[in-house]
Amino acid sequence: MAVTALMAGCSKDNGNDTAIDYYNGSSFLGTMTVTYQSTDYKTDNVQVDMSINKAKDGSNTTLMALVMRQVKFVPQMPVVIDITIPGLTTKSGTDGTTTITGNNIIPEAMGGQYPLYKITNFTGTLDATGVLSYSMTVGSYPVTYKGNITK
Amino acid sequence: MLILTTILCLVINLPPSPHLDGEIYDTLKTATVTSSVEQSLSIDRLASPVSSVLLKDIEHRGILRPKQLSAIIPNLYIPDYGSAMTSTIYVRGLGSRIDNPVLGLYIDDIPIIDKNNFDFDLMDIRRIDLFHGPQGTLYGRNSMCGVMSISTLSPRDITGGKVLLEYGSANQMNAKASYYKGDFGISAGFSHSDGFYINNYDDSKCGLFNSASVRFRYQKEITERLSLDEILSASFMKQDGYPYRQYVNGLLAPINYNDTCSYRRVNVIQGLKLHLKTQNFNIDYIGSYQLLFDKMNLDQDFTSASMFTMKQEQNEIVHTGEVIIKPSKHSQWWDSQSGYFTLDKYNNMDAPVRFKRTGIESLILANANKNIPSSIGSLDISDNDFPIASKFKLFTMNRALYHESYFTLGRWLLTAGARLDFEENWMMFDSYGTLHYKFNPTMENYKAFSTTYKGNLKNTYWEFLPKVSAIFDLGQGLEVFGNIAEGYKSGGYNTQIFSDILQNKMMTGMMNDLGVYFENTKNDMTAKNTSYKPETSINFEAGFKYRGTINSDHRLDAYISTFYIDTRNQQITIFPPGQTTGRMMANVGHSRSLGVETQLNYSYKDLKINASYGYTNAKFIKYEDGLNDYSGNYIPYSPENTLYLRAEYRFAMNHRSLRGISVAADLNEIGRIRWNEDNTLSQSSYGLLGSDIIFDFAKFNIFFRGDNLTGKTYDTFYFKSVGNAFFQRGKPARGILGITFNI
Repeated sequence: MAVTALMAGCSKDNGNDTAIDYYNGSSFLGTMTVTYQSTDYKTDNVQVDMSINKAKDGSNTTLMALVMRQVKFVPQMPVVIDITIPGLTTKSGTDGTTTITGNNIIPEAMGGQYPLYKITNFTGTLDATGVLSYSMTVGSYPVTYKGNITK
Repeated sequence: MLILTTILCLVINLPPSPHLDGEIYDTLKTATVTSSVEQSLSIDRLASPVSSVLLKDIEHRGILRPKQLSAIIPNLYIPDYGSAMTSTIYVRGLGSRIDNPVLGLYIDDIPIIDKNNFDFDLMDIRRIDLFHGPQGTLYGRNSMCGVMSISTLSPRDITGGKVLLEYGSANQMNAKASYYKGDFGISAGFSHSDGFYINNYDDSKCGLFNSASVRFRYQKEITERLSLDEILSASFMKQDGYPYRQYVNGLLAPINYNDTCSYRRVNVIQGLKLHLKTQNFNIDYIGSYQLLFDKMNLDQDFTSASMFTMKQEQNEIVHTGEVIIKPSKHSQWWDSQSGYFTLDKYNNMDAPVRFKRTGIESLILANANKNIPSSIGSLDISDNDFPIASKFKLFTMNRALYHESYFTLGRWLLTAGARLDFEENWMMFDSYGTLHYKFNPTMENYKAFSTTYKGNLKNTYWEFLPKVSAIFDLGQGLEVFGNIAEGYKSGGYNTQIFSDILQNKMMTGMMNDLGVYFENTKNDMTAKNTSYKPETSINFEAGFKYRGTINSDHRLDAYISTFYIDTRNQQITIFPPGQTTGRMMANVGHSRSLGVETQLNYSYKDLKINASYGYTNAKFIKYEDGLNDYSGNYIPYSPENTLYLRAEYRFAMNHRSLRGISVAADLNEIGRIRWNEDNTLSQSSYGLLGSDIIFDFAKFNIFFRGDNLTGKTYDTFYFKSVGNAFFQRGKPARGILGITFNI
């Protein structure tokens, strides 16, 4: 159904895409890989929740936020956290794939903005089959994620 | 002194002493019936030991509270610590600090259900019988190691009045008066003490005690077949207690805590006894209503730091009812009794824990932040103090059927009996709390966070308690006996741990609210972990009894008994899993207790000697709390030995008003007591020397009594709170001067 919706409605870009609205509230489950001291650490079953909001500047721009649930970017960390990556911009392609980008984003974690984990070089896609994949640098840790839509 | 002199002047013209039945007043156990209607057999035909303390013993020894019976009755230890609420009883190596006792307490056949009522002023006690060993068949729950049966004076025993006035160390004052006439009896008493301890924090008296009590008794032969005995007692007591001293580097620091520690109790006990004689049966009904309203305040950390306090307020109502049927006509070789017992107890408890600033920082924030890398940030709570409310509604229902048969075969008396107990415990809990937190550096403002934990639990269980015993009359007052009997101590709920559960839930909930999750939280406590099952035991016992008169002047009453007790599902106070500050009861032990006890009461003319000795070797066979293995170690808190020696001599005086002077000395030796499960701390055996002198005038007595005359230093309690160790020191040397007279 998600795929159908995406295929049927992709007509605009630069954040004015109405089809991406369909994904507001969707969840994805997949694998996150953190590269820490040249070693890749994989975590399976990482949930990512997607929300689509209008920009607060009144420009009618649509922005995406991704919430990565219970993740850690340093393997030795005794706690896992929810981290929200706000302000991602989207662009829909003709093949039903949406490109997601962002840079120098201060994420939100532990009740507020968390500059230590500043997001740089965020690039990702959401394809017509509901596969979400992206890569970014969280602070100084390269992170990739690939997951499938669950709802 | 002025008061006593005034009283002496007033009593010069008083009438002679009221009449007291000789059997009641005699030091030796010449009475053949016990204080308990449940016991069909006389004491000398019971196939288990019985220790009796009679009116004269109680008066001469100055026994005012059940705690003073420690060691006087062998292998009985009721340590004097904390407050009147903490009447922990240890018998034959077994006991428990919280909830259900191992010893049943009956006053005038009324079972005292709540252990919080076990420490009280003894008023006009006629006799105290302690039936050793499991009495499960006749008395059911919580009589696993015996039953203490207390009977008070009644209008049938005495006509006239009695007054006691005492004054002693630490401003201790006791005033008691009673009057009996016709069918009525009334007694009232007041006690005060400043206590023996000072709290260095504010130089306050730590142990201040006031109590008042009143008791009515009405006995009536309604018809030839039906008689009635109505008892109503009420008491109020208030005390500042818990004189605990921190143990640091092998030394005891002074008492030094900043928050209130006190206990207040109001209780009302109403009992009705009916005795009906029919053509074929004697039927007894014993019913009671017991009301308890008490309130405890505790500085939980017992230090000068503002960490956390606890308040526990209980409003409890209990109803008990028992019907005992005994055939009035029976064959020479067979007799029996059967009974039905009911208990319904409802307790409405409010037990909030209040965390104060130091406690918030050291117990909550330090615990939370130690798991959060400093690079991420740290948690902060703005509240200077916040309460965790814990409210409970607890209901206990017990129903029991029992039967005992007695077979007399020549010089043998065989007893066989069984009891079937059904008990249901139900608890509704409601814990909640709110605090204000923020996470640094991500949050700018504090945010309110509330947690609620509510639900209910129910446990039911059946207990079958068989018993067989035999006693053989060897002649000339000597008997040999043996018995095998089962007993049990009820299960229950660890209400005191709910504040820990909620504290953990708040911590976890608050972090989850932040989007932070601890990875190792699967061991956290839940309500299900708070219930514990009954503890059961089987007791094997054998011994000899002797009662007799030698050469007409020498009277001796003695017993010696050996026992072996196997206890399963032992209820032990443990540190619960997870990050908690409290302790809880859990069925983690299997133990055995073996020992010997002996008691001897001897008199020759005006000389009386009492001696009791108990030895107990109580060890864990298995101890599984998931953290430590204490198998093979001694069970803590119960003494290995108890010894009591008393010699009393009465000098008869041929004076018109001074009839005699009694002089007595006694020794109360207790120990060794292990304080912890790993047996690394213990109290070595200590002896407390006492003495009393009584001037027996025709119309009144004047006495002086001293306790712990050598000023022995010893400890009565040990525990740990938030990682700190504490002891309570025993009472120092003290004396008391008093007068008793009759009106």
